[in-house]
Amino acid sequence: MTTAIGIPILFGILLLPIYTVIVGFLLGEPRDFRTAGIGLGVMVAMAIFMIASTAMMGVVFGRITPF
Amino acid sequence: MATKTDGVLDPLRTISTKFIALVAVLGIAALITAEAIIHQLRHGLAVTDLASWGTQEGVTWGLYIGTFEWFAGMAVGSIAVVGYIRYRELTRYDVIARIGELWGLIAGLSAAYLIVIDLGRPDRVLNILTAWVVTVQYSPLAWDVTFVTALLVMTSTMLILSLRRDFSEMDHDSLPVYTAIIGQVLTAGYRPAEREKLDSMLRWLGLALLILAFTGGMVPGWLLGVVGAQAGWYGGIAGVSFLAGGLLSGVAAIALIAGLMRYLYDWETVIPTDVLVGLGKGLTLFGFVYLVILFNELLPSIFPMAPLAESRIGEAMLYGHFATDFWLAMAAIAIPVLVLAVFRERMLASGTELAVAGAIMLWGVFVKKQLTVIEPLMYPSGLPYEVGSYVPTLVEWVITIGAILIAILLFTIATKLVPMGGLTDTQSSTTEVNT
Amino acid sequence: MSTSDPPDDIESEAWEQWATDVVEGTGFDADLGVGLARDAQRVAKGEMSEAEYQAKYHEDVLEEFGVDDRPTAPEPEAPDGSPLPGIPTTGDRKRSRRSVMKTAGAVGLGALGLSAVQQSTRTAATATDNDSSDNDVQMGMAINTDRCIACLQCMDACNEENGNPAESLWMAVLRYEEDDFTDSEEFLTRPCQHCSDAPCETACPTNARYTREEDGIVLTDYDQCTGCRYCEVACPYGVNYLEWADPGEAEGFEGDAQVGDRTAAGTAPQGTMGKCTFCAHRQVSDDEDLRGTTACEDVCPVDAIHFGDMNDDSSAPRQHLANDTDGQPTYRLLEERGTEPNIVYVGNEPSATATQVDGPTGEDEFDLVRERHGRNEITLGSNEDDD
Repeated sequence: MTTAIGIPILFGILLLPIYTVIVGFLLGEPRDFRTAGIGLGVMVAMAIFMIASTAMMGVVFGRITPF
Repeated sequence: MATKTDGVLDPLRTISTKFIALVAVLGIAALITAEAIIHQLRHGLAVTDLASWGTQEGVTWGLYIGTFEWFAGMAVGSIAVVGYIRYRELTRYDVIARIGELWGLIAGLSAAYLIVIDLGRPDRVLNILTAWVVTVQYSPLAWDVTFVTALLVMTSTMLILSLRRDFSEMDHDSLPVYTAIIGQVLTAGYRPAEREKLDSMLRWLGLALLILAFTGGMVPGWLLGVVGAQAGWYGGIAGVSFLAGGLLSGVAAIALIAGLMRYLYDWETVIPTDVLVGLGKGLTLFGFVYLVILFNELLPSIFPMAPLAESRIGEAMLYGHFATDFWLAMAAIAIPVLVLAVFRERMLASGTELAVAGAIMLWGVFVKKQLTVIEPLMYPSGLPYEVGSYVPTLVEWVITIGAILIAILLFTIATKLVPMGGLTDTQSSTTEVNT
Repeated sequence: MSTSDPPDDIESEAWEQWATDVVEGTGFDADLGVGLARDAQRVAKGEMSEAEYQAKYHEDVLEEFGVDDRPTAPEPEAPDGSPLPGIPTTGDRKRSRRSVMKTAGAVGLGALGLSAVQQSTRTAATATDNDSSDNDVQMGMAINTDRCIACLQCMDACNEENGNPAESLWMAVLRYEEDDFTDSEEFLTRPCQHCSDAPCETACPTNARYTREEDGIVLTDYDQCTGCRYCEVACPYGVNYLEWADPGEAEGFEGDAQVGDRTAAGTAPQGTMGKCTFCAHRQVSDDEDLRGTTACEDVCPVDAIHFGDMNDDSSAPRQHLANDTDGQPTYRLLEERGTEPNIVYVGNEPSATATQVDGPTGEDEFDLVRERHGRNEITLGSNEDDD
């Protein structure tokens, strides 16, 4: 027995909306992969932006903290 | 509906002295908050009144985590509203959806940075992301980071894509130059042919936001609910309780904003009375549900059969140390629920009453969230430790209230940068709405 | 197998013959077995150090049995309990049954008639209880609260040893009163319980809180900890102390903070979480006299604290529990929480209604305080109205 319940929680619950978006954008009517691509591109860009800004926040805070 | 077409862009076209004064005041508040944050970064968490539970007789999580839970709840409620409106294509609620997108994003960001402020080593926040691959397998805090990131990513995507649709129909020359630039960027490569696909994608995104709100939206509750060491947190209802509180506070925040904007811009046509009634129904329903869940959460702890640890916490809440705060918070939720239920249409005609109701309920949820976080840490169980104490310091109050004021500032500025809705003709929407 | 007593002189032909006979009965490499047994005797006599002994035969043991589970084996196996890397296991840090049996068989040869070796090397001891499923070293303590006189020297020694500020009481002696007809006043000596199923590890979002594979000590990686304090709320014992403030002119930790490849010994740097490390710097020390000891154990004037391997029935805690409890009850703190703590108490267990009374840490003779720096002074019992 381990505590790895996070795997089903991650893939079974937390990522459900991501699956929905990917499937919905790509397979939803009308089919238009260009627009779907733009939408998914925005999402990936925002994900990178959010993680990058967290990193930036760490760097800026690191400048201020003396320890 | 020519009136709506014009009205919805009113905030963009006017910059009143009142607006400038508000931004100035909020800006000063933001600067003071920034100063408080820098002060805390320099001296560490020693500037708070937080202390280890146990021999130090303090609470180790306080205002920041309570306020995080409050903001995270508002974000969950906001995206649930956005998701419902976009999924069902309730075009009469278009403005409400935009308010929800903006507020969901801002509340999510506020929640995220409050967590970082609460860290002992905020400069190491990246450690949480680099260790994520391993820790997400077990740590609820890693799930929480996953959820907040997903919320921010999906809400901002929803905002960008819905703005792309709205901007595509606007004459950019009629907009202020900065708004026009945003419009140019967001409609880059836009083809009229993609409109139908964009509508479909917004529906899917709406469904995804709904799913996120009702599944991942429970994670900040689980964060406390899985902690077996803390009697007041542990239990199966924590996630549901958080979700209900979130839905209530999200709808309350949106109702507050909608009521205020309707009052400020005379938006009788942009936010018609039936939309206000819809929001009022939402407030009534979610307020009632939240009360029912809180009752279920508390009853076992005050019943004579309750285990000792639980009963100490329940009693402190109901009759003891926290009773005043607790009952005021409950009244702040229950009385608006009652009033809204009885005087529904009459009271909601103007929107200002709805805004007042929303504000009171938001305060009630805020207080309850703080109590939820603090109490088990103050009343430790298990070993013979003393009851703790916690009196937040000035720095904590400034950062907490400042976080709220900064969120308001960001929203205020956003209303002058992006349109609060599309120019879509709304005559086709005949669906009667129950949020 | 032969149960005849071995000849006394391990260098003699007769001993060699005797040992070979015994080992051949097991079907394992006879030369290795005889060598192991002979050198085990040398260790027992003090002619050879334990580390030398382990190192000398590590490769041969690995080759013969595929696994070397002896305590100071240079390359510990990856943790077995978890199917995924780096995940805290829930208490079953077990090797596979087969490898346990093989090692037991191998080392069992040393055990034959060589009780002196058992005392010394611990390798042999595993053979005698090869039915117990956990073959690892698990450091722990037996604390006899019946003997405790609340002199607070353990608390002082702990803070001195680890360079902790006065408010971080990694070791705390709680003075409590039972709220019943006895009105008895007792002490609870409370270090970290070094749980085998530590909730703090499951909480940690940065993988900073971990169990050392070699000896089961629960530690915090100070380079990795972000100070989120989720471990602290998850711990039912309240043993975690964040370093809230800049230690300032406080002396700090003078030893080597490095434990293996992690920074985890001594006081926690500002903003990170500290707690009792079982004096981890001593356990990895080059000085043999320091290994297997803690500051609190050393200083206790009434011999109430016993530190050692809980899986070794010859260790100090196990010996104390076996021989010196004077009929007092034994228990583990809050065992019903399922944390599998590795500290066994001897004495009366505090009840759920026990209340703290004024006592130990109020004294000024040690540089110890309860209240966090900058917070209001704590008076015990002042909050009783809130109960």
